[in-house]
This record gives sequence, structure tokens and C-alpha cells, in this order.
Amino acid sequence: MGMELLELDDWSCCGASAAHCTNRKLAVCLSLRNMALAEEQGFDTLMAPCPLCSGQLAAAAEALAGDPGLKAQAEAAVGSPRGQGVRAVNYLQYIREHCFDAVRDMVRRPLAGLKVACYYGCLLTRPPRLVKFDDADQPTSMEEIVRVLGAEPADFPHRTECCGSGFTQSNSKAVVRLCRPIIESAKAAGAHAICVACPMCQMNLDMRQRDVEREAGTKLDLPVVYLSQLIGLALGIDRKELGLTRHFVSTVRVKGA
Amino acid sequence: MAIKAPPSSGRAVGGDAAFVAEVQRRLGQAANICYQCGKCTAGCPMACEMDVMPHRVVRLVQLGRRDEALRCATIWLCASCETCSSRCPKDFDIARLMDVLREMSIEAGLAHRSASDIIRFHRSFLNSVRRHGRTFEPEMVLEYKLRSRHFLQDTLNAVRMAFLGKLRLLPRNVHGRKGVKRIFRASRPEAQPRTARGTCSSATAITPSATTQAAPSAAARTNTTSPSVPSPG
Repeated sequence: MGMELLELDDWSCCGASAAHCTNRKLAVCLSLRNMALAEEQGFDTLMAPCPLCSGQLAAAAEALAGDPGLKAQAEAAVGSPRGQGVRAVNYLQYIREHCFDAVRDMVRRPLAGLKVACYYGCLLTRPPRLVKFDDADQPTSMEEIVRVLGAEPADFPHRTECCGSGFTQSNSKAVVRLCRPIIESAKAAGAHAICVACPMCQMNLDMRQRDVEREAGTKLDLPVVYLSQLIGLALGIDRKELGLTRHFVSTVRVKGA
Repeated sequence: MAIKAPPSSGRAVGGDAAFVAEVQRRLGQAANICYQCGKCTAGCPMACEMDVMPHRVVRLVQLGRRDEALRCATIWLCASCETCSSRCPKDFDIARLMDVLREMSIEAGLAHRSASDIIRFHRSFLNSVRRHGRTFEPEMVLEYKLRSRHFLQDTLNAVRMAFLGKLRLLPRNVHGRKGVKRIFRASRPEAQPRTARGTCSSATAITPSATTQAAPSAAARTNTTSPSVPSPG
């Protein structure tokens, strides 16, 4: 695709919800450490596979730019004055903005006949102040990519509703309550699979689907796959290599006709 | 976004002006820019589980009703989905306000009892990050189970995860763990003297700028006509 993906050497966790919910300075510093590493290693863009990670990086950059006192404290804690010029993007955004044409040209096994519910969840497009990509309430980028892969996007109303994100352990009842209408409406729209670009969305919709089925009293059996896996399938990459054998809900029916 | 916070804007009459100022300092926005339209509440996916609706939490802050704002379950039920902040017609960052209130609630020891599992999970998560630089899920979940005593929750899912090859049995430690630990040490909240009830425990931390700011704008003053006063509980 005319680009090289390199893993940031020695990256650390951004602290996720646990940090930003309880200790802002910690959240900013943990993100700054990764941005400083990126700059030291010669990167200008950090693409995160999780939109909370990329959102936290962007939020940290915004906080540091607007608060010289916090900036001084954070730089002292991290031990580096660098990193604030690094741009953070989520992978949906990166693929849509930089790889769209390349993906189209590289499709070898179009996913014809596959109807996909493109689920964005919260943070791929929110808050627009930080994400600066697509539309916060009516996004279209994932559908555009899925169409290029030969699949058909399903029209369902819960594309940007929250799945309960980090409550998967600590408030799993809420996660089941929130996931149920998402999965049910995708199913009602005739989707064969839900497509996501966030690991928390994937985990909640996939792992909690059994609990949702128990509550709904029906079998839903709707696979939840990553956008990257759909792209991989259309490019002809092996299913096992794509991790499609490691889902809770079987993905065997996720394929082109 | 970076709207200067007015000192107390005269609305915290009978309320805790120092609390209002401290929230605004941490938030970087004036609480009074919210005119209580309720759009945040209308779009909130967690509202049905909350004890105080999101726009009323903002109202509690405007009125300086510190204990009610820091004690409510709402701030812990917020899933940080950012729907409220994205849709707010005044660009008031309600999702960030929830972060600020959670932080202050823990510092003041006022967190709602229903939040205990959520706080335990946050602690277990951050302890794992402090030790390894990244999360090590089996250890993090074990610590959470020990803290919360929900021993049987998700045991079947854990077994399924192991079979699907989703669980790592050894941590992948970050080489720069010392640096991560230094970040954790430097980010410890400053020790807050517990003061008398009703006063802001971190009033001493208010920046000088918070007391030298311009009077609230005419637009902000229109807030005071809002009839919506939150009901307790």
C-alpha cells in the first residue's frame, strides 16, 4: 500500500479510562511518554489500533499545548521535552485518508454477497474537536471502505451508540443492556457481520453476545470482525493469519460469495 | 474551548464558591456557559441508570453544591462516550467535567458506594500498568476479583479466551518500566488536607488567575434565569 507500518519500540499503555477517569496528570504523562518515544524514533504520526489510545494521545497534546504548568510537570515526569508534534490517528482514519485507493487496487477476492453492519461506537469520531475526521453522528468512512471491498453496508440506526466500553468487567450489566440494541438492529437490517475498528467494541459485542442472547431469548449469532480483517480477507490473506479463528462468535460465514 | 473561568459568578450563593472555582480551574471552562438545555441528558446512553441527570450535575456545579456533585453515582456511571460533549450547543465539555468530578470525588473520599467495583477495576488496571508498563490481563483480572470478591464472574469466558488463544500467560514488560514508575510517582495526587464539610478541600490549589478574571459575560448571566434546580438524590 506504499507505506510501512512499524511498531513503536517500547510503547507503554496510555492508562485508558482508568487513568483519565481518576488522575488526569497520569493520563497526560502516560500518553506523552509514547509521543516522546515516537519523536525520538523519528515518527511524525502514531496510528493506534484503539480509538481511546489515539484519543488520549490527542487529548494529551491538546492539554499540554494549553497549559504551560502541566507541560513543565509532564516533561519532568516523562524525562523528555519531545513528542508534542506527533499526530495521533485511529486506524479507520488512517486507512480512509491514506490507503483508500491502494486498498481498492489490491482487492483480489471481493466480498460479494456479504452484508456488513459498520459499527463506529463512540471514539472513532468523537469528540470531533479532537478526532477531526468524518462526521460525529453520521459517519460514512467505514461504509466507503467496506463498499470498495465488494461487500454491502447494512443500514442500521445504532452505528454510533456506545457499547459500554471499559465497563466490560466492572459494570457488565450495562454493557449487555447497551450491546443488545446494537446487535439486534444490525441483525434486523440483514447484516451477516458487524464490522468494528475498536478493540473494546469488538470484545463487548463478541464476548457479551452470549449474555445478550440469554437476555433477548433468541439466538443472534452475529460475528463481530475488525475492519482490518475484512480488508485482509478481500486481499486474499489466510483466515487463520487474520485471527478469524479466535472469535467467540464463529466467523466461518464471513466471506465473499 | 479555552474559555476563562469566572471566579464564582455570584451563583454559588449559599454554595461552595471555592469548589466551583476549583472545578473550573481543572476543567478550563466556566460552568456557567451551560444553559441547561438538557441535550447531554437526552443523548446519554447511561442516563437511565443515573441518579442525577447529566445536565443536573452541571447545575450542581454551577450552584456550588459540592457534596451532592461529588457523591452522586452519575459521575461513575458515565461511560466517557463523549456523546454529550460532541453535541453540546455551548461546547461545554461535560465528559471532561465527569473526569474532573470523579478525580475530586476520590480525593475527597466521597465516591458513591455503587462505584466501588468501578474504582476497584480502575485501580487493578493502573496497578498492572505501573508494574509492567502495559496491562497484563490475567493478573489485572485476578487483582480485580480479589478486590471486588466477584470470584465467579466471567470464569467461563476466561476459559473460552484461553482456548481461543486470546490470553497471554506471561507479561510483556516494557523495558522503560522505571520511567513508567517515575510517571506514576510524579502523578500522585497532592495530599489534600481534609477540611470542614462543605468547603473545597483543594481550595488552596486555586491558581491566582482564577481570582483575577473578568466578570461573567451577559450570555453567561442568562443562566441564572434557569428554573432547573436539581432535586437531591
